[in-house]
Amino acid sequence: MAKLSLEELRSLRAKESERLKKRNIHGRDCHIVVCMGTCGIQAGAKIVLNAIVDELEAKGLDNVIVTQSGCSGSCKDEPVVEVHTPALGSVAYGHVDAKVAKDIVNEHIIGGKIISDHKIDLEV
Amino acid sequence: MSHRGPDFLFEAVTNSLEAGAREITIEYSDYSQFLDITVTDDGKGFSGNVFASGFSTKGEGRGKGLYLLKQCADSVDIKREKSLTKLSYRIKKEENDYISEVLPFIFSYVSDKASIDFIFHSKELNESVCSSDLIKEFGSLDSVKALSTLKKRFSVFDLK
Repeated sequence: MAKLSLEELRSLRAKESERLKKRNIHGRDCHIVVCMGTCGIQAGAKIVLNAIVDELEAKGLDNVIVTQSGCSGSCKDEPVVEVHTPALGSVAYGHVDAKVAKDIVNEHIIGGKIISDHKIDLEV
Repeated sequence: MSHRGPDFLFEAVTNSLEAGAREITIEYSDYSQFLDITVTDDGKGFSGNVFASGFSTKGEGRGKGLYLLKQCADSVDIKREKSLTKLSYRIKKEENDYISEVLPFIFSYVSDKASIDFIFHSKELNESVCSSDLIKEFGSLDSVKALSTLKKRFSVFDLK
C-alpha cells in the first residue's frame, strides 16, 4: 500500500470530520475525549477530565459522553481534549486546564464556537 | 504537575487492557499515610524490564508510565503467576489524593472491554464495587449522569 502524503492524510481527516458531524454516540450528539496517556496525566489531564464532567453536570447537559483515550501523539500540547459535535465536527484543544475545560463546555458545546486560542491540529 | 498515587491506576489499567485482559481486579488499601495498590489481570503478561525508561512493546514515545511509578513509589513489584499478572505498589498518600476523581473514569474506560472489580480496604471501611453491577444500574458508564453520580458515590473512599 502506497504511503499517503501529509496533504492526503489531512484530506482524509477533513472528510472524517465531516462524517463525524453526523456522529451519534450511544444516542448522544456530543463526545468529549480527554487524552490520558502518561504525558497527559503528568500535565494535569485528570483535573481536566473532572472539570469537564463537573461543568456538564452543573449545566444539566446529558447529551454528551465523556471518554478518555491514550496518548494524543502531541505531548507538547498536553493536556489535549478532542471535542466532536454535529455542528463543528472534530476539534482538538491543547494546553487545557480547568478553566479552559469549563470554556469548552460553555463556549464550544453550548455556544457552538471554537475557542481559537487553544485550538490545535493534532499531528497525523 | 505529576502523577499521584491513584493516578497510576490509569497507567496500570491501560497496560492491562493492552495486554488483552478481560478481567481486572484492583485492591486498594488506604493506610492514611500510604496507599497499597495491587492490579491483577488475566492478560498475556509481560517480558523484559518494564520499569526501564522508554521500555515498551507498544511503539515509539511509550514506556514512561511504569518507569515513573518506580520513581514515585516507595516500592513496586510486578509478577506473573498462574496466568495472572500482578502489579503492586506502595506510595505515600498526599493531601487531596482522591480516588473518587479517578475511579469513575477507570470503570468507564474499561467497561466495554473487560470486567473490573474494585476492592477497598481501610481501618474504617471495607467495600467492593464491580463493573457488572454498575452497568446494570447505569447502562453506559460514560454518560455525565453515571460519571457525576459515581464521583459522589466513591467519595466515601476519599479518607482524610
